[in-house]
Amino acid sequence: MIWQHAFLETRWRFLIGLVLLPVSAAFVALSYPQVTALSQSVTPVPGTALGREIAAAMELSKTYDGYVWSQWFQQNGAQLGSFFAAMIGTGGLLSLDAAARLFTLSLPISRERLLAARAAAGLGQVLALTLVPALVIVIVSPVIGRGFPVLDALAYALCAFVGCAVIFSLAFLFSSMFSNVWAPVLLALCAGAALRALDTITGGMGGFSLLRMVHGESYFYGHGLPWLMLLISAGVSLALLYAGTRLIAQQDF
Amino acid sequence: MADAFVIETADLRKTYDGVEALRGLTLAVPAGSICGFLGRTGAGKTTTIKILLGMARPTSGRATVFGLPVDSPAASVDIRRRTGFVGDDKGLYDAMTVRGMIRHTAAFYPQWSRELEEKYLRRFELGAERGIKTLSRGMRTKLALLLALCRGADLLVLDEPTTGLDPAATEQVLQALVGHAAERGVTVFFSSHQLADVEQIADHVAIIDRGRLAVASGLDDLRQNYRRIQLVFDGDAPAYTFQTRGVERVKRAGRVMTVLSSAGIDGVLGEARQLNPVSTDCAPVTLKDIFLETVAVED
Amino acid sequence: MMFRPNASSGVPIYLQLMEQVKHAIETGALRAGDQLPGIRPLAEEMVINPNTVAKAYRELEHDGVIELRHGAGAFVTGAAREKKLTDRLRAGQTIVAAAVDKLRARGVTEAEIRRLFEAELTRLTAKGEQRG
Repeated sequence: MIWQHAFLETRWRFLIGLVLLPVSAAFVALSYPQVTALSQSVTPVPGTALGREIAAAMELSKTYDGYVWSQWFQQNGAQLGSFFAAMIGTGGLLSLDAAARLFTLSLPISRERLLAARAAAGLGQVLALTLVPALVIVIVSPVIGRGFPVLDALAYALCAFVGCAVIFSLAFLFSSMFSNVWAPVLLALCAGAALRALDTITGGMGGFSLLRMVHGESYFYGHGLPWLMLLISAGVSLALLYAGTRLIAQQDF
Repeated sequence: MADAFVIETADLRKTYDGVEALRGLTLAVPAGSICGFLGRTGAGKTTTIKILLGMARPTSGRATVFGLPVDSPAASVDIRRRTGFVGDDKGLYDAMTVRGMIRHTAAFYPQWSRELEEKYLRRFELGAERGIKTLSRGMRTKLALLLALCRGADLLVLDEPTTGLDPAATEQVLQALVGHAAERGVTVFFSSHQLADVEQIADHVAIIDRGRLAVASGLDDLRQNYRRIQLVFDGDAPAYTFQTRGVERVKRAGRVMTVLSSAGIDGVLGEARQLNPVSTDCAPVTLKDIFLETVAVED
Repeated sequence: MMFRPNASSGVPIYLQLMEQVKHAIETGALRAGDQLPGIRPLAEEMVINPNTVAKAYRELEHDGVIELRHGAGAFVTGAAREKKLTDRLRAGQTIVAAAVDKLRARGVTEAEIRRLFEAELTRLTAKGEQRG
């Protein structure tokens, strides 16, 4: 019953994501033949930044694995996943309408438990949104005569989940500070953008890039999963969630 | 074993952003009573209720419900488990059906009674499959009341339960409260602006004014002790200060002096006779009069 | 037992209820041995506080008008009091009829007559002289 209550608030955002992400992932996978055909006839202009990017993408797309990784896990999947993670993380008691807030606060459940349930439910939803699209790619690949290893999909999904969990936790914390339901989304995504900028500027921060971890880059390049970064990120998520919970516990309504 | 008072506060204070909502409220609600909580808008009624239910924390002072401290989160959970609350905003999810809302709520209360649920659905004529957003105000209140009544609570706290209801719906709500109180010995603590409703079913009354308790008494005691004495004089009414304790207000207008006393009527009448009025008229005072006189005092 | 107490009249509801019961006995609507409604159903029917009904019943028992049999309910007591009360009431009706005629002859309106009676009774109640 507390779970039912926890899922209540974000169910639409989650369900939309649960349709959108797997469909997008399938679309990416199934477009491979067209992309391959297209890239035969394209020659990137050397010397320009855009030209370099296109050249890099074409290089990666020479293999199906590279294509899937660069187009989904590195780009679309990560972006959509982050967005939905932030959307699911926002909300909470401060932004609820008076009736829902009143109902929730008068339940015989401590605020800590309520928030823990909300956090757990949200994380579960983010997990589904990162795992399902990855599995869809595995299932759909044979349609175009390709195969994508389940293990790879799971590895990338794990990295994406942990990364998106940080975005979720940021939005969760901000939702304990602002009653506007959009502010936490914006702030969490800005934080994500800031990290990306930082990454570009420092050129990877010597292996401690959150971004690259999210993208599963080290795994792609055969270095195995980035366990340290994953642990640190998980710790950061938990700390953010805890802070958000404490804030609400002290709040007067 | 049961405490004499279900709700007790001692010098309760609450400041929100520099505004003192409660300035030392000391209140005691007897177990098994139906207590009307009156006060002007902004006097502190909703703040008090929020503190009792653990939605806000007191700045200082103490408050207990069932003898449990309201500012301890663990105790507060226990308090809420045994309390049925119907707030100003009824706490209903528009997207659900009546039955859906009931089942959702019931899941949190192990003592939920399905028998009562069916009984009140029938009595309140609430269609179980209706969407909550299609319900009228009266129906919403009745549904919120049903949710509070079916959970086996020992205390019902209601914030303006009959405000905005038509007379028929009001009667149904009052009747349900009275019937429930009779059957289960629950204590009912409700804030209201509808003084007539309070007079009808309450046996205790507490009036809060500017964050403090102004009047707390059994309603029958109020009825038997409060009197308005009208003295008419030959000339202008004399400027006189009554010695008898219990004189609340004295008003003079031309040849008429009006005295409101909350006690000691014999003493007041005795003193009044010594002023040689032409006529002495002694009348009972309605709750509305007591309320207006108590909270309208100019600073 | 269907009457609506006046909650705003300044007279405690339990007293009004007691008067109603006594009146019912005096006019014969309730006879010796009749059972009064239970506290809960009566409170619910009249939409008043059950404690109020309980108090009225206790006071009526104290006055010897009814007896509360444990577990069984409230019952009207013996006949002797009844007749005395009925006689008193009849005599009272005659007195009141005469007084009202006199006042009306003086041009006092009905509303004013009512107010005069109430004011006098309240004055007496205030002074504790009245014994209900």
